[in-house]
Amino acid sequence: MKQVLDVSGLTFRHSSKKRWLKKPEIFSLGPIDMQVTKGETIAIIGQNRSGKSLLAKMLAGAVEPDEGNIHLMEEKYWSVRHRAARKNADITGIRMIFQHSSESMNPGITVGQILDEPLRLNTGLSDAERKALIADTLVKVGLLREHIYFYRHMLSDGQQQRVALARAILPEPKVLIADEPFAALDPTIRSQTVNLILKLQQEMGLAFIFISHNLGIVRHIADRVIVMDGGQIIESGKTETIFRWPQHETTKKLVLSYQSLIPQQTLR
Amino acid sequence: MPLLDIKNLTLEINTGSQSIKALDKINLTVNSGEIRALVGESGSGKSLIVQAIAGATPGNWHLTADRMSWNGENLLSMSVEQRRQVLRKDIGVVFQHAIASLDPSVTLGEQLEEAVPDELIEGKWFWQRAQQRRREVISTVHKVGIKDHNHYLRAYPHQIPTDIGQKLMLAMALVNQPKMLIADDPTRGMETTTKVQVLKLLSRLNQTRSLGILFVSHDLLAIASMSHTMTVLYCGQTVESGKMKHIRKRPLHPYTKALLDSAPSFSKDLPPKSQLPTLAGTIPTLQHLPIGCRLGPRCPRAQRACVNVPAVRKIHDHSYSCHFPLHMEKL
Repeated sequence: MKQVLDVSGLTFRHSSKKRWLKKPEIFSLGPIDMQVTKGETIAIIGQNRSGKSLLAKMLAGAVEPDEGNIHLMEEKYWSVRHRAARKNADITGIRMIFQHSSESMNPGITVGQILDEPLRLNTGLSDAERKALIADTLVKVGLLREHIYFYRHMLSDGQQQRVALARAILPEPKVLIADEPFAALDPTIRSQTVNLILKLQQEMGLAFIFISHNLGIVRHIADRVIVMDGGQIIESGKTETIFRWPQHETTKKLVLSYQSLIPQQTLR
Repeated sequence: MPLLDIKNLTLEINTGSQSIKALDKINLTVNSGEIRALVGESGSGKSLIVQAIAGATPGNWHLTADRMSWNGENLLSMSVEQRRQVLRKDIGVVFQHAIASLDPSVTLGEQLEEAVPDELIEGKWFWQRAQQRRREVISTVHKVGIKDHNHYLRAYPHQIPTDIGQKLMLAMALVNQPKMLIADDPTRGMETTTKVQVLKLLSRLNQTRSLGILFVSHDLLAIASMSHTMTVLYCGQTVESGKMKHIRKRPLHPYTKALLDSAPSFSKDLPPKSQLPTLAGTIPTLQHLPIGCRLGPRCPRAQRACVNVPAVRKIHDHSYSCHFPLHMEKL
């Protein structure tokens, strides 16, 4: 097993200044340590305002952490001292799918242009090579080559999700991060997306980190689960272990409420 | 006697150039003390039904029904004023997108106080009535599980998180003590613990006050744990309806089966990381509906007969509309 992602001591602090009678609001995340191996699926669960989305954004580089290091494939990817390290390392190693995939796409340009942008900015491929890669990727996520001429509003929810996925996997990342990828989808479309991600993961050996409230899906596809509360990782372990023997109070609450929803097997 | 009884509800939307049949002969009943789940994917017309019952219909909608009655009174032939009275007194509605349907210019406390009907307020003087109104609001807000009422009742809709907004919308629907609650996706996007809280509240109200609930959602896990009966919709057609436990054990329609399969928690013996069984293709848009059985192009069992709309067939109180239903050999 090869380590793909190694995060150590990742910290984020937010504080609004103290005013006359107002208490200062302090939110701090971390320090977070986590290791991800190749082809592994990790689910982050927790209640609202526990810092899950922030952690995902920090890993993807949308938010700058205050302290800590991120190593990708045993190379320095990000650290406070070496802010420029990311430039040298493989810049497209970690890619993210955002929470509302439809809203994260530019409505004014075609799917082809949406997919072209990350390649044009980050790789030295020629026009023809980029075009071929985009067509291949569209087929890979179950769309047609013709979809490069489509605009966002011409696609259904499931197709938009596929485009978002295509945009994330275009530069062949090592790690894919997704913030609630299944929440806004309808049941049958959701199953299609889950199947697609499972298939792509097998083909490309992607490590997949995702945030979800849907514990049924977490249980189905995750290898390991990380439970967060108040900006800290309070529990982490194998999926079955967490679901069967939760240790921490918050985890117990989450798992119990999930179990209470599952219909008990009735005697026939 | 059923509280709400709808037979062959058809809704045509006139878009200028053509008219689209968005709902096609929907049948739906809600008895008092019953939790009826209305399941379907987006574009299946769940929210259209809710709007049609609530009477919030735009001018270009053309609504026809053989029967659409509330407690024996015909809703369609009622005057606007009568219908408003019914809605205000007896039906509470939780709309989708809670925060968007609250008034953005008024604090939540004021909106809730406005929703308290005068009959529930006692007191001789105006200050006594105002106090009582306030107390009523606070107790309802506590009931739906918002603890910090001082903070949230003073806030404006844009200042609150989504799940608080959803709970407030629920409080607003429950504050006039209705006989029936129509909840359009009240648990959308909620985390598990909050969702369980809301579901428990609803089933408790159902048991203690025998509140009829029409629970509209596509979250099967939530539905299966609380509802008694279920109606499945696909693209504006009723696909199957019946008792929850019958449907779960033996779905007759291929679409119902696909829906049940999509929640991995239902199937215990599914190996982890295996491919989930699902239907190919996407939900057709309203402009491009297939003829006949609307599931046709996506259905694994589709045959030639499926270009005709299947008639509704009934086995006891389990009704379905499919030419080639599943699990027939066991019946």
